[in-house]
Parts: sequence; C-alpha cells; structure tokens
Amino acid sequence: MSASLVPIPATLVRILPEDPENRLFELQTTTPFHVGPGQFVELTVPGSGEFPVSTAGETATGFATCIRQSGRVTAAMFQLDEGMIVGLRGPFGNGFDLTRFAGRDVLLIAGGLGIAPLRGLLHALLEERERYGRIVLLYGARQPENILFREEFEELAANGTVELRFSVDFAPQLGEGDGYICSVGLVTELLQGLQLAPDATTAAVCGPPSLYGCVLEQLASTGIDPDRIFATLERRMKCGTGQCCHCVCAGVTICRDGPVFCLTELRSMPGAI
Amino acid sequence: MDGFVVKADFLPRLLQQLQENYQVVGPVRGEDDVCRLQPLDEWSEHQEFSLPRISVKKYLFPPNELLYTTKNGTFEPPPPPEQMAVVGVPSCDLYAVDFLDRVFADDPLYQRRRSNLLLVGITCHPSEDCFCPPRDTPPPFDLFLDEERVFSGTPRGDELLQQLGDRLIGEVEIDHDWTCEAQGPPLPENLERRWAANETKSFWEEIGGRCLGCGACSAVCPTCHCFDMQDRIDAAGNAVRHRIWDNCFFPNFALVAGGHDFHPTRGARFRFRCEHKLLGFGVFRGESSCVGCGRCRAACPVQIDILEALDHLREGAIP
Amino acid sequence: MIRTRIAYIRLTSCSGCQLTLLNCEEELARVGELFEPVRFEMLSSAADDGGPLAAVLVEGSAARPEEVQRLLDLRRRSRWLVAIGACALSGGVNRLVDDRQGEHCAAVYAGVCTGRNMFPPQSIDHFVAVDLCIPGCPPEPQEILGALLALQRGTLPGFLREHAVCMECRQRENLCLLLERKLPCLGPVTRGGCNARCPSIGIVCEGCRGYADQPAREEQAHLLRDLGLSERQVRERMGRFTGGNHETP
Repeated sequence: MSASLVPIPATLVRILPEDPENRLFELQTTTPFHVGPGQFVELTVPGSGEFPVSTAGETATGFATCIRQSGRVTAAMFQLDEGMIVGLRGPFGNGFDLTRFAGRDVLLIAGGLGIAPLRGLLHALLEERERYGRIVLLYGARQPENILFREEFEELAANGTVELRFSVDFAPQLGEGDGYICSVGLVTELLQGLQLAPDATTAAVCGPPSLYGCVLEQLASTGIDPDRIFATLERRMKCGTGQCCHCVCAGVTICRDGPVFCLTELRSMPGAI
Repeated sequence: MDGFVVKADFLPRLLQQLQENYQVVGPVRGEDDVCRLQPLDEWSEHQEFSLPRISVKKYLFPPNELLYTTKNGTFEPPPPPEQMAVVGVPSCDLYAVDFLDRVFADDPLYQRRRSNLLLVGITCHPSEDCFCPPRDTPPPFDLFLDEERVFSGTPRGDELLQQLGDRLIGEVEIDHDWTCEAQGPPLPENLERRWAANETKSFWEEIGGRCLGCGACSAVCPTCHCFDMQDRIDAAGNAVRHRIWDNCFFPNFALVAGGHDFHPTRGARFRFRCEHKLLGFGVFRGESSCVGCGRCRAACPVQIDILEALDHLREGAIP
Repeated sequence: MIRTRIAYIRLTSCSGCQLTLLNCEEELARVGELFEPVRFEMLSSAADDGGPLAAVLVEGSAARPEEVQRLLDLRRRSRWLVAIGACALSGGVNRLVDDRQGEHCAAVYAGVCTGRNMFPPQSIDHFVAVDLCIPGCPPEPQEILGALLALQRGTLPGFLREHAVCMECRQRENLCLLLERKLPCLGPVTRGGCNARCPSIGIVCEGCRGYADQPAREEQAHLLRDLGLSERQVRERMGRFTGGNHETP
C-alpha cells in the first residue's frame, strides 16, 4: 500500500456497459498493480474528484471495477472513453483472507452492486477451485435486467463450478431463460433449502446496509461460526489510509482495519451494521 | 539530550542564527489583540509567547495544501517546501506535533514538511482555559527554552547550540517537569468501558441541541486532522487537487453514496469528536489526543466544553 | 478548438453577479478562448442562434411570467443550469418586497411599468431543475470561474463549500466578532466559500451566501436574542438573503 495522496495514472482499456446504470471499467497501469479481493482503490477523474471503489476481479492486464453512476464524480467518469487516463491510489484495506475459506464450503451472498467485490472474491477462489468445497452464490437484484455479470455466472453454474441462485425484487414476468431466478423477494429467502453444512461453511456477504441488518445474524443462527461470516462495509472512505477520519465507525478505521470484518468483530462495533 | 544555562541575549542571537537558513515564524500579537504564528522579521524586546489561535499545525498540515497538478497524463506533487523554524512553541503544541507525526507517519507530503521544520519550544504560561494531561516524557523539539536554560532534542538542535557556543554558560542537568502547571483532571479509568456503556444519549443530544455545528472547535484544535480533498481545473487548464481541513461537525462528513448519513444529528457529531479526542481511532485507540490547550473551549460560541463530556463519562455508571 | 457553448441570462436582479464575472479582467481572455457566449447580453451583441448549450447561467429571481418562459426555454436547450447569486438561489433581497409591490412600481415607474404582471420574486428552482448553485451577493469571482472551468471539462465542480463561514474565519485566525465583540455575526449559519471576506476586515457576516448545509437556525436566533436583538431584528437579519424574512427562524 502506498500512503501517498498523489495518484498514479491508469488507462481505461475497456469500458463495458453492464446494465442501464452500471459499467465495468478495466484499468491498466504501467507498473504492476495488484488488488486483492475485498480491497478497494480510489479512482480520480482529473479535475472532478475521487471516489472509492472495490475491485471486481483482476484482468489479464490489470483489474476491473464495476461503477454505478450515483453522483457527481461517477457521472464524470461515465463521460470518459476507452484509452483515457484516470488517477489511481491504493490498494487499500484488508481484503478477504482466503485462508479462512480454504478447505471449506463457500457461501457468497450479494445484494445489488455488492456483487462486484464478491465477483472479485469468486475469481480468486476459482483460480484454485480444488482448494474449496461447494461454492454457492446467492445474488439479489432489483429486476432481472439489473443482474450484473449474469452470463458469466450462469456459465459457471451450467458447468457445475458454482451453485447459483438469483432473486429479484420485481419481475414483471419470468421468461424461459430465467432458470436461475429462484425467487421474487428477498435474497435471504434463497437460503432456504440449501442444505448447508454450517460447520464446514465460510460465508461472505456484500450489499446495502439493509442486507446486513438481517442476513448476518440469520447465517449465525444456522450454525455458521461468526468468525467465518464475513461482510464488507461501505463508508465514506476518502483517504484510504486511516488519516482523514471520514469512514471511522466505533473507533475503527474502516478503510484500514476493514472493509472486511467477521461477524464477531461487527458485533462489537456499535453502529457498524 | 543536552542542557545549558544561557546568557541573557541567547534568544535574539538564536533568532539571528536561524534567520540565515530558515524562514522564522513565531507568535505575534496583532492590533486586534489576537496572537498568531507569523513571520518574525525582527526580534522584539517585548516578544511574548502567548498561545497562538492556531498551532504550528498550520505549517505541517496546511488548511489548503496542493497535492498534485496534472502534467501530460501524470500527477505531479508540488515542489518541496522551504526550511522553516517555529520559535516559541508551548509544550502542549509540541505534544500535538508528536501525535500528528504518528498520524501522518506514512504520508510523504507531511513528512517532507516535517523534516524541513525546526521546532523551538518554550515553557508556557498557561491560561485559564488550559487543562494539560500529566506528562513523563518530553515532547519532540529541536531546542527547548526553559527560562534561562536551553535543551537540545535533536542533532539539528545540537548543531545550533554549537554555533551559539559563546552564548552558553555551563551545562546543566535536565530536570524539567514536563507536566504543565495547569493540570486538568486525569482521564477517567476504564474509559473504553465507560464509553461503551454510555447509553445516556440525552447528554449528547442536549449538547447537540446547543451546538451550532460551526466547527470552530475542530478548526482551532492542534490535533484535529480530518481532511477532505477538492479537485478543480486551474487557470492553465491543469487538473489540481488540494487537501483541505475538514470537520466532523459538517453535515456531509459521514454521508455515503445513496444518501445514508452515519452521523445524522449534531449530538452524534459531538460524540464522534469526543471519541476521536479522548479514545482515539484505529491504531490510536486507547490514546487521548487532547493536549489540553483549551482552544476549543475558548472558541465555542455557545460554551460547549470537552471537560463537560469528560465529567459526564466519569460520573456515568459502568457495568 | 471547439468552444463550449454557454448562455448567461438575467432575471429580476441588479446585474451585480455578471459584473463580478466580467470584472475578472485577467481571466476573461482565457474564458473567451474556452467558451462561446451564445447569449450573454452584457458581453456580446451576437444574436442567440437557438441551438443547444452546455450550460446556462442564471442570475436573478423569477418575478414575471416572461422570465419563467425564458428560464424554461433555456433549460430545455442546456445540459446544465447554474443558478448564480442569492436572488436566483433564494429570491435574495427581492424577497424583501411587501405585498404592495404593484403600488410601489406604479409610484416609481409611473407609465413605464405598472407592476401588474409581477408576482412575488421566487428562487429559480421553483420552476426548473438546477444542477449547480453558486451562492453570494455577489458571488465570489473565483467560484464562478472555477465552476466554468469544471463545466468546460465535462464535470460539475466539487469545490463549492456548503459549511459555515466560521470554518474559514477560524482558519484565518480572526477575532471572533460574535464571541469577542458581541456583534450579531451570522457566520455560524452562513454558507462559506468566501474565505470569511467580511469578518476578516471586522465586519460581521450579513449572511449574503445563504444558509450553510443544515444550519442551526434556532440556536443562532437564540444567540442573537441573547445579544439584545428583538424578535423582529433577528428575523430581518437572518432573513435578508435567505428569502425567509417573513418566517420566524
């Protein structure tokens, strides 16, 4: 990690529209830049501003990040074209500790854009697929067209690499190709009937605050060790280095000590979830 | 660390010596009766060493600091700062520098400023607002003036004393009591547990009900270090970014994309500030960074007092 | 280089905001290189070609139906709409008008204007979506220029501050007029960004930049009453630039 507040240049090598609101940006740097799953970077649109974003997996030449147009700077980011330069700082944060997943079944639960960091984790797991048991991905989105990376996940499910279940909040009508959409409702409903072996399972959850409010304790109640239920928190991370204080919660600098915490830690952090 | 008794004209000679290599700043009382750190062009017989409105922090961590300018697709940091000497820094502000040094230990821009800053401390004359914590180790300084004695704290300080050897009378033992005479109440024991048990939200909300949210307390604090960054296009067409002081009383401080505010009330913001000052964040958890200078108490337009919060915590029951 | 097409229009106001911009003599040449003033009456006599715009800057409050019409027309043509100055943001001092507006108009401008087609001055966000607000009476020239430079690069600016004047005033190590001179300064509730221009020369903040984000209005009113201001004086002082002089703070 570099604590410098001065970014390095990164080239936008590819920009892929994922859905009406989100785009996948693939970045490349001149010097090697490794971002682990669950870590985040700070991206600069020169002259506009900077925002934190998690990595959605590594690419052949760098890494990818999935961005929703949600504010002033991301709006400026969406104006950029392939080949243009952005600023990059990081990587920041602890990221997911893969040793906590090794030799175990893995349950990934994502809500909305929370799929981005979990996709990064999934990619890291698939690099050494044999080290893990079952990999189950439960993913809730607003509507079928908001399911990000859908083709990629369905392909992994079709060849048996992962077990996949989508849920959507609204679906006017489910079509023939919507086989992996198991429920219309909350992502937590997907937990039912999974027949997990709680003793052998490590879970990772990422999504909006409302998701954490219910799903983490629900997982613990099924018998999964709270030390092996991980969530990644979102706060206003500005510096990434634990200096600017914006992301502090319960005395903990989310950007530096987190953003990935296990449920045991989260229980001792009032206001964290 | 070396200590010497000095001749009466040591201080003016020191300033003369410093002026050769440094931009020298010190406390100056203006026509408006406000004391500020500013360039000392010449030495006044009546130089006084009052607590300036804002500490030496303003040179190490400027309120508005250029971080980079874009040049042909790269991000260029500004040229290194000039050598500066600050004279007459009271020990509370020196302890604050020690804290900032550790907060910004990995920040190259801060460290560049820090290594170019020479600190001359001085025994302070406490005001009625001061409430220093007890100290058993000296703060960081290059030189420290204690009435008719001078201590050196660094090789840079040693070198200066060598240059001013003819102004030194004799070596002395350093028996300075680093605890200021304006001692405040000690931190309550079991502070972390008291904090966690502090469910009397009404206390914080009562204070929040008086608070204007103006941020004066944090602006004058020698250890507050929250910051924000601002981007703009300069007149030459380059993108530039500045680091600016931020303030945990500002409404957007803990606002995240999507509109959720983690500190929605002024009471919550005041509690956050007290937590930062008294309990510390991240790797500093368990360390109070309040140096007891009393600036926040003096600056608050509605007389909100961090000591009130301490009293509240001390009196509260712990499980 | 293709210049960015902008328009600048004035509704009910004194032209002080555009003069602030046009007085930036050092920077104007650069502004001219970057921007094409498609419609900017005080700057250019060129006729408006009616084409699309990157930004329209609007000064003044809306007080007549034809002003609203102009506003709506330009909003449709422009990617961004920027409200400039207190009148556009809150109605400004125009809101101090009482309910005998027509009578006053007839008395002052007899024969020229009857005031019959006027309505109480409104902030422009009552009629159109506003992308950016540049506060002040008048605004800070560097805020207008900085905003223009950002828009020209395709982004809304991020440097406009929304917190209280006190922050910058404290950073300048000013004497606190409120606390140390017992003067009715509005710094704690007024939006900063002016670098505490007035308190730095010993003049209390009059609140010309409007309210800061989440202002502690009641607490400020309480402070002013403690300084001896009457209920009415408090209301007038706090409402002068905020369009709120008719309400209790």
